[in-house]
Amino acid sequence: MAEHTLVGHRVPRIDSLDKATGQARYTADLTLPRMLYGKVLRSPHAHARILNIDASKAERLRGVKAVVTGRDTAGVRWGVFRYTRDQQLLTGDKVRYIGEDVAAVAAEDEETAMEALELIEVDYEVLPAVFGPLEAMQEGAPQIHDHAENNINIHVPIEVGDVEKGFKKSYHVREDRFVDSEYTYCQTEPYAVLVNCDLSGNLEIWTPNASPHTKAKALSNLLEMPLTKVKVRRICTGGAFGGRSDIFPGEFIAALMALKAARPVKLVYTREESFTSVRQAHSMIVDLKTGVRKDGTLLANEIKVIMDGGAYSSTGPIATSVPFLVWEETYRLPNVRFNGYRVYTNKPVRGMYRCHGRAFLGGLGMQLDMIAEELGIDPVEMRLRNALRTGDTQATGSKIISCGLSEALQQAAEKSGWKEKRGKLPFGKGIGMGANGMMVGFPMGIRGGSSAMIKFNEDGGATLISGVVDTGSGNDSMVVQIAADVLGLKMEDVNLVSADSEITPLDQGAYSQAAAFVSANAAMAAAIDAREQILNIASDMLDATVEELGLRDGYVYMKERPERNIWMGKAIRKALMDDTPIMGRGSYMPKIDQTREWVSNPKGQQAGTFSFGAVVAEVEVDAETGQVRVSNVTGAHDCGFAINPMAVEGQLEGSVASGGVGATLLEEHYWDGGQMLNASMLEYKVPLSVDMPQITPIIVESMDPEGPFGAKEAGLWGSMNMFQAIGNAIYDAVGVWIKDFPITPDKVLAALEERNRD
Amino acid sequence: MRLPKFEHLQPESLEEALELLAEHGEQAKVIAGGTELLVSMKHGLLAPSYLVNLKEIPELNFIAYDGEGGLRIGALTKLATLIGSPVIQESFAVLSRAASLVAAPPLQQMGTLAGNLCLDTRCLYYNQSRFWRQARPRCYKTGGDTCHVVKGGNRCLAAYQGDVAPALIALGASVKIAKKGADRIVPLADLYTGKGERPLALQADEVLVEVQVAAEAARWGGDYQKLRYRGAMDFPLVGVAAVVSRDGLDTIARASLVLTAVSTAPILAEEAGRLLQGQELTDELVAQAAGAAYEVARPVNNIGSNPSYRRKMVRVLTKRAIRNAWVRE
Amino acid sequence: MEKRLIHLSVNGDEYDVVVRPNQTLLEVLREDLELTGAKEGCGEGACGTCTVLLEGKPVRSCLTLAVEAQGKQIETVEGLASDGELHPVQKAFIEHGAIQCGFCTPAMILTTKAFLEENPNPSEGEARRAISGVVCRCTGYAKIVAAMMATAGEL
Ligand SMILES: Cc1cc2nc3c(=O)[nH]c(=O)nc-3n(C[C@H](O)[C@H](O)[C@H](O)COP(=O)(O)OP(=O)(O)OC[C@H]3O[C@@H](n4cnc5c(N)ncnc54)[C@H](O)[C@@H]3O)c2cc1C
Ligand code: SF4
Ligand code: FES
Ligand code: FES
Repeated sequence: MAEHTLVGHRVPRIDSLDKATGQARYTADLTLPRMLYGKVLRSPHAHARILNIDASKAERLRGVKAVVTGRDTAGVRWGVFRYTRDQQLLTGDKVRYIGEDVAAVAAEDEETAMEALELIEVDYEVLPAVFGPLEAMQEGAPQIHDHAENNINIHVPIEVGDVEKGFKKSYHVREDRFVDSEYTYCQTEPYAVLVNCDLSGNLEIWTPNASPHTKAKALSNLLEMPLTKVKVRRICTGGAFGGRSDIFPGEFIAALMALKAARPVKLVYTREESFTSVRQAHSMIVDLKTGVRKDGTLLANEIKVIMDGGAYSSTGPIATSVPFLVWEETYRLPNVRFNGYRVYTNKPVRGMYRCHGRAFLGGLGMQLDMIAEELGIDPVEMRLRNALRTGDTQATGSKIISCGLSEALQQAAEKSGWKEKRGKLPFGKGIGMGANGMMVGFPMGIRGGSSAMIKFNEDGGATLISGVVDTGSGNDSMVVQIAADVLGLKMEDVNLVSADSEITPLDQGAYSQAAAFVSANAAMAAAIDAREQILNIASDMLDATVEELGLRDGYVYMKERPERNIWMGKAIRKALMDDTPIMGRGSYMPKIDQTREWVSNPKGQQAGTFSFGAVVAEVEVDAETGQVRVSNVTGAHDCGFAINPMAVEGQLEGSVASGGVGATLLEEHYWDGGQMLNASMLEYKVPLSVDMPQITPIIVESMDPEGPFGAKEAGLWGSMNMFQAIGNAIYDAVGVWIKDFPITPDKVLAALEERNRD
Repeated sequence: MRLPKFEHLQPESLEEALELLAEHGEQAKVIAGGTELLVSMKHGLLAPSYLVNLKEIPELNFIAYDGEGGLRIGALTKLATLIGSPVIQESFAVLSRAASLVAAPPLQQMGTLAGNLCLDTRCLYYNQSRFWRQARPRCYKTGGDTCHVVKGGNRCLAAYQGDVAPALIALGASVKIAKKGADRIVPLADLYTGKGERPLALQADEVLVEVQVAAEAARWGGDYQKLRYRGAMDFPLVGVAAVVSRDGLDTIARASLVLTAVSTAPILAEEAGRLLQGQELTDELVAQAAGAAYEVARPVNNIGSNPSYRRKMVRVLTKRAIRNAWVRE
Repeated sequence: MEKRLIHLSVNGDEYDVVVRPNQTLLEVLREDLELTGAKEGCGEGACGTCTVLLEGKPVRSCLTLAVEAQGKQIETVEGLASDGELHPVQKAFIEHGAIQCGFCTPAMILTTKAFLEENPNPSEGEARRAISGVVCRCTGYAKIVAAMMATAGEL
């Protein structure tokens, strides 16, 4: 497969046509006959006991077809892990944050449903609440869950090497605290769900999601229905960014109501509900102590992270570990101690986000620069000195099978003009670097692999059936591109059936950055399997050996004598007649240590492979207003191999917006106690076109030995390393370190004033 | 998000509109571009029984200028039209600049001049959904007797955040207000009560029909500086309009500085203007004037960012606005 | 609340629809006419995903009353392609990879079309300003701007 007609080329995505013409359907666009409209009654209290719910008036309102409360749930609790089952998706006894689901109504129209909500009477006994993790950990703080002492939800302790000795041997040691506030996915598509049920007990669900199989499994557990009866259907998803994977109350509530009313129910959240009642990203308090040799080599790290997890666990064990993991996935850490705490507070639930851990990653990357300066080392040098390389083993035991980090660092530096600019720009202008490594997949048991099938039509066209999920980044198109390339077909000749928990095989979903590495690997294996079958049949028909044959443009041909060929449709028909129909089958399970566990055993191979990236950001700081403008970003990413370079670039550009300008400079929630003051698109500051810098993407290809055509991942480019690049660039521009994210103008100005005072 | 119920009334002339307003009084509300009003209605902040729609009244949509009578702009003129007007660009640059910084282009396409001038005051505890507001007691602006921003405060301090009013006030603009059987012309500055709860001195049956700027203002230089976190969409966290005129080569004849988003109304920084008047522009003088503007700004913690920062920015933006206005003069 | 029969002209098709005065144009397009290309990302004027063209200009259909659109020309993304031919802006968006999740795409495409018809040869800064009222969370706007600039001069 030396010559590729499709793979590695800039091809338009298969889903763009529908999206450009308005034909693509998202959940809120769907209607079904006799569909009801749902609305959820939410808690106005941050912490309260529910004494009584009286929904009888609502039930009697004309047009109301179903009312559900915690009483309908038999107290079932949900948790992503067996040890995190702490959430009743429709709470019965207690509310733990403002916006929590208390009851719901399904009615003939939205107005009636809203009217009915006003008729539900809930008696609350208001309890003292706590809104910050440090306060929540104190003795005597309000207890949010009975089981969690000091409100500690998750504690991840990791220790490798001899940290004390490492510090002792260090030439230089630094300690810093970095903090950040809560932020949010803010996918453009608000949360929505549509549930249909039939009399044979089948449940169909449409909802923006990154993992239909995960959602289906959770619902089947919660509703005590067989998994075969719970069918999460494919639907366009308006962005996920890590936030649409585990089950949410909405799906559960809509299902309860659909079952109760025996009619389809659609629930569409307002933007405010999407902010408060689905998922947000954690805030963090990060204490970092780092010791280095004189030449900048890292000798010891002591890290403590306290995260505000909100009211429930969600993906807490993962969320608590990931900040550390992406650090050990970047640099050689001989001696390291990590203590991550995720703490319950009376705030909305926090999950995994594309830009997870800005205080952590921003902090570590900025501290590296501080140390570099103190030692008189160039920041690029500092990173190169510690960067992981192919063949290395990470602190907790993962082997690196391909690594282009050094190359990424060098290329980003070179293309951005680092040498000419760093430390040499006029006051107010600055340049800074960031780097990161990223796991490609992580242990998810049986759900951590993917499988795929390919069948053929008699006209030579193929249908690929894959569990791959596309939440916007182009995964659907990627697997079709690969299958078509392997099979010598055009992309339009390969149909895709994907992301349907009933029809398509298990897959981890658009989660854990594994779609290219795992899902596409499975699709490629299925295509190769089919290709072999086709070639076998054709070798009889053409009287040639399989090795002598190739596939191109829908024909099987002899490589040496291309004029000797047959149309693929013919081979497919012959296979049917011979009772050996061509069916490609493929699967891929990444080589992960399946005994590795987030909390109890954070050791062993974490992921099949790792991707690496470096960015250079250039900023202009207005020293009078403190406003920071990012003018240029040069990013180099080792994605293994770019299956579609245009899509890879798009991932960087998007993450410069969300991780760079957004998470680093603009995005945060304001609170008054447990109430969010800016749950709106106007007051929550997602970057706009006019806020964005010029972006130069550089693709580094380390050709991973396991990945399909060498590919790894490209989604978390920039979104994890822009924090440090911008933080460092601000220092280069005006000489202040801002250790509190987002770096809003008021903070920059305050730091400048303080410095001028000293 | 759904709108509450109302009747939609579509007058075709100003007279008819005034008639309808006289008839329905407090139960009616006028709608122009609707970009503020409909959001407030979706939030349940307002629930008028009647909307009197001014969009189809041609006599309210015009821009007229002559060297003697000055500039007259119909109330229903869209911000986009105003921004695109060559006369305004050339002779009243501060106005087109302020309007061009409102929201984003599609909202300028919908929003009108009168709607902008008649914006309600804003507060993060007020511009919220009904559900959101239910979680705490009513504040002064919603009929209660507390303020969530200034604990123990005795009145509402919601912020006036319109961008255009400061520019027009700095130009000395007046507005023509009509009701059934009567017209009045008042300085634009007098339209604002300074009360967060009820920021406009307008009766329920009154309509703002026209904005007037004297011809002499066409010779003045002006600038508007706006602080916001994003390059578009956002209301000002601070806005400063400056208009100056020259006496001879180096002396400032008259200067007018108006701030927005730092109080319950656009505020004229009188002392700042007085300091500049009759003086030559020096860095020191500019700094003094900026200091005087800083003194009158009273931001509180209710529209995002932090108030002490916003107040400091009054100083910075005032300096910039004076400098730019002077250069343009 | 009186229901009213109104006449809407959408993408050149004529519709008679019975509406309540408090229905927005967005609701009527999506629910009554089943034209779901315009999306409700916020309902408060702040995201732009509900953009449609009214008399050729991009507006927030979530803040436009359906009764106000009576007698005006309305264009939605569904009406852009004609006779099976994509509009040049649609083509450029597809070819330049300007579409990811697609939720902002109808609004971006319509805004671009209106903008380029008025300003056929814009600077990049002008193009960025034109779409500054529409939020995209996926693309970082880079490829959208590239698609806009590539179509400039073609309309
Ligand atoms: C996302 C977003 C961002 C925004 N950003 C800004 C910004 O940066 N700066 C800014 O200034 N504004 C901003 N706005 C507010 C608004 O869009 C503009 O101020 C606009 O000009 C308002 O005009 P309108 O015609 O739409 O007003 P409408 O909503 O129609 O009316 C606003 C108010 O004025 C009253 N009114 C309207 N016309 C008259 C009249 N002739 N006589 C008496 N009363 C009248 C109405 O009854 C209503 O109370 C923003 C709005 C949104 C949704
Ligand atoms: S300033 Fe105080 S009284 Fe006024 S709206 Fe805000 S909370 Fe209410
Ligand atoms: S839905 Fe209309 S602007 Fe967001
Ligand atoms: S493509 Fe997803 S919001 Fe723009």
